[in-house]
Amino acid sequence: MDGRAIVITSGKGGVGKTTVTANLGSVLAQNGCKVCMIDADIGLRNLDVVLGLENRIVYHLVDVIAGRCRLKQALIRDKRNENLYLLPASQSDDKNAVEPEQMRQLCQDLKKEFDYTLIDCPAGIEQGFRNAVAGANQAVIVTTPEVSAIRDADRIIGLLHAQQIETQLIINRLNAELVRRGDMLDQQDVIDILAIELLGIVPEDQGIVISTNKGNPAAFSEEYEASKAFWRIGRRLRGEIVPIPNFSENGSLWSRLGKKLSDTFRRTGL
Amino acid sequence: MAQEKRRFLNTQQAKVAFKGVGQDVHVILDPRTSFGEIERELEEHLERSGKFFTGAAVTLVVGTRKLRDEHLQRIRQVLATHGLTIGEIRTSVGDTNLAASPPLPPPPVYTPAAAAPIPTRRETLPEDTALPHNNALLIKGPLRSGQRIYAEDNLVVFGDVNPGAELIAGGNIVVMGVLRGVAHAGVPDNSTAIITALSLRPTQLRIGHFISRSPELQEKHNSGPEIARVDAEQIVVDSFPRRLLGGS
Repeated sequence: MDGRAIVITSGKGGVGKTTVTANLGSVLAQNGCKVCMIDADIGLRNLDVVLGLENRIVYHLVDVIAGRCRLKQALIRDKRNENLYLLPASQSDDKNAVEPEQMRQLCQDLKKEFDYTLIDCPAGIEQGFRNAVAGANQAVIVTTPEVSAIRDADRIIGLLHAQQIETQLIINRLNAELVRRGDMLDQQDVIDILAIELLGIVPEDQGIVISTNKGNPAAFSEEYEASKAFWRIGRRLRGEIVPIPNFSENGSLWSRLGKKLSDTFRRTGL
Repeated sequence: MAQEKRRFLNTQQAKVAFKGVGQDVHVILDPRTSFGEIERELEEHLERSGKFFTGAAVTLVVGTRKLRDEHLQRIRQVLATHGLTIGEIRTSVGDTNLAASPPLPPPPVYTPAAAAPIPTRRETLPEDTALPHNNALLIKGPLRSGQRIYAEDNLVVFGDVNPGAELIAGGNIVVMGVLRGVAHAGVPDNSTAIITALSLRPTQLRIGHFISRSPELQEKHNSGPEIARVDAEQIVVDSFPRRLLGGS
């Protein structure tokens, strides 16, 4: 049976696509699934650095597509988990080095070998995006609770729906404290605008910065809140029903009422 | 002198100039002419000269022109239809050099699984290590991520080579700076080539068909200039011997 090819995309840059890809891949692999992550960000590769695999790259995506090596030669096995593989991007080419049809074929080949093929999409809606989504059956949209990120996510969702690609949402870097104070959009605000299924929420966590800089995804250590969130998301992706904790409403009934009231005042201008 | 100057002017005026230099034929492209015109001019020139150049491997002199990959392909095609090949490309622009890079050496020689050995650090270099003295391409650094420099023979970089940048040389590689990227000397299969840098902290080193990656935890050693070469079927790193620097 063929595996699933999931593109991780956002439109806007810097919202955490690569982090989500690395961590979801790590979680799924630790759950015993065979996972291949493709870095589709040709010319600005990062996924290899986040995974700490940069020094193992010999061949890359463009070599495979151009027929300069076999697919198996370019796949790098993760140093922590033998179920996890990376197909790195080329750094010296650009997005035009690959055509959507070639990506579709590549994903077909990978789906025969892997339970999950995760495609780390570049920012933007141009050729790189078209390549990254070409072979995907479904999409995970990453956004942060910021209006600019949500605006771009909305655009991306429209483009994906036009191609009949199923979409789910991850809200990344939610800061519970800011939401509680009313200084950040909460998850409901985001879902109201984007109107797609919520796959999970990743709280803002310094552990992500630390682990990213070490080239060791947070999902390999369980001490971080964010890594717990990624583990829950991994279970949901595999079809389990896992409740999504509400990060914004862990205050008392009275504080929630207070927020409702102040919201009402704000809206009505009282 | 006057004649020398006129010839210089002539080559400047011609959009495409053919010039015999010793045994070689140089094809000089005027950097200020559009590529479309260059292409037309080249075709006409070759038409006019009939079979005169057939079989020659020419040296393409592009100077400061930025030549993209597809342009270079086109020039190759035009030359090929008249039986000419490009033997060498001379450029002073990094981008053109990038486009001029021949495809990477044939794949099957590396087995990534065997990429494991970590460079061994040793104290001294054996007395009989020969140092190179051939042609060298000189490049000014820093070379940044995504830049790839190809040299037919030796390659010398003045400045740092950052992670994500790639040096490829038929001969030896010398970096007068910190080497943090990938360096591949002795392409395709000369395992006597060496790689040396003022500070050697590469992502990967490749010499001929040998390959080694950096240790997982790069300790911040401050060991001064070092030299990498192949010894007993693996890449080893030695500190650069003082006697080669002219010291005692």
